[in-house]
Amino acid sequence: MTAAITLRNSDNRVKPNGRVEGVVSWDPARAPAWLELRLVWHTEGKGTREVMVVGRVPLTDVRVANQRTFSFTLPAMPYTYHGRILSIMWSVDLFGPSRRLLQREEQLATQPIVVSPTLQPFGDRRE
Amino acid sequence: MRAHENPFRLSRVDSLRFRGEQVPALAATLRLRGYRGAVVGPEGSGKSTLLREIAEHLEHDGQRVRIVRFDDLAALVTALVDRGAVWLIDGAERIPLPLRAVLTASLRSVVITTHTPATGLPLLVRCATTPALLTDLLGDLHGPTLSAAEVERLFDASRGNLRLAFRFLYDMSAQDFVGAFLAR
Amino acid sequence: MGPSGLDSGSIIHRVQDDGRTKLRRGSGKSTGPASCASFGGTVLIVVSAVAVLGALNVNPLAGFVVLAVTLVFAAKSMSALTELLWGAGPGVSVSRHPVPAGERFNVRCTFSRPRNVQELKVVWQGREEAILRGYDDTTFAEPFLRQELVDAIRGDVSIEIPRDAMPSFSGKHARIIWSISVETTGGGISMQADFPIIVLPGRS
Repeated sequence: MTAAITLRNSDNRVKPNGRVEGVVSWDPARAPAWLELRLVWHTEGKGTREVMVVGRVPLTDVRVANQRTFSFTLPAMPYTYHGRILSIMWSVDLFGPSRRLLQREEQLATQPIVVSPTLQPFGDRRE
Repeated sequence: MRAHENPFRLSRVDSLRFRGEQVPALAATLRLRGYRGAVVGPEGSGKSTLLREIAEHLEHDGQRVRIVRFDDLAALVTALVDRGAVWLIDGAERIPLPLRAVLTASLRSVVITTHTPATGLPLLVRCATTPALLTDLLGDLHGPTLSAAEVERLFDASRGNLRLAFRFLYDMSAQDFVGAFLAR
Repeated sequence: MGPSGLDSGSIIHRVQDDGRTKLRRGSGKSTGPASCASFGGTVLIVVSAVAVLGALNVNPLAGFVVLAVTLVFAAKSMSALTELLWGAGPGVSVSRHPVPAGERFNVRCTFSRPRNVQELKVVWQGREEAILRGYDDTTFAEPFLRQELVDAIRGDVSIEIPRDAMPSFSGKHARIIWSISVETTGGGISMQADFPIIVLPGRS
């Protein structure tokens, strides 16, 4: 199923404690039994991946409607961070039931965002 | 190179599929043996990866599957009373011998990963690593291209432990000099 | 501790009478006669207790409890004795804690036996830590800032935290840690101690 997440902030950069707003759209003819939109930060790098769901919006009537606006409020921390053995990344993700056994759900769409008081990722100043 | 761009970051390494014996055939063998067996091999040889894929196939068989780590004491104790599931125990050699003996003797359906074959369970498969396997996996990770000699050197330096090899490549990629280091 | 790293209770600090905050040691190691004496003394006391309990034919459960208590007592008393003989190692106090990014604070190092210190290195550092949960848990560390503080033992050293510094963060498998690291050599002992400091988000 194709789906898309579009943010109101076209450059996808938001300050901590700010709002992340946008629209999620999908094809109702191919929609699964349920869909859920999540505000998430996760880590990447040399250590075990960590995922923290900060906000959730269950989408209703997914086989009838084809889009929904959303709004999340960001917490104060953590900031987006790009390091050598650790990166902390924020995103708005759309989840639905998984087609793989042993996996209850899978990510259907994702929209990365940068969360930072300077609107630049911390750690790497080249961006 | 930033951590989330490193081709050898842990989330990518963990997503590699098991190479070697055909997993469906192994699952079929397990079925014939009443879902009892041991996956044997040294560290970094793919045992945990294989265990996860076997679990998928057993679920497809309609079995209720539980994967537990050696240090999840609560789950191991639960295994003694929940006889309906197939218990897959990762790192069984780290479980104290008395508890391990009780688990393998009393559980109806149990598959373990372990370093040594003497487990009281029938050997399902022996995992082993080779430089060719490392080359194959490196292809999936889309990291820097290594020559056969470089792969051989890396394999020897990590003593066949593929996780160690990937960790080494992570460090080298982070500092952007994989080729230069392996050339020494 | 939540993911923000702002739980200062985990880095227990003591506010002194002069208003400074004494930092608690986060991690450290020492080698030399002090640690050997501490370990050896503890082992000796415990082995002696085992011998005595065996000779007295004490009930196994009671014996186990007595041994556990003996072990704790032995470790604490040997630690106190080595501190008395060789000194307690470095202490670090700061003028304020926690500190927001972009602001200044002063650091002072103290030693119970300063004349024993032959080599000293005090480093202000920020590092990222990634924890790998596997058969064994492994913590990888990568410093992104290292600044040697000269003269930290002679008086206060002023540090300004960069305005664009990543604040302290503590997740399940990832951390951003700021700390004062003290390495000393003297009296046959090498000691390294790390004193974590919480860096808060900068004030906007």
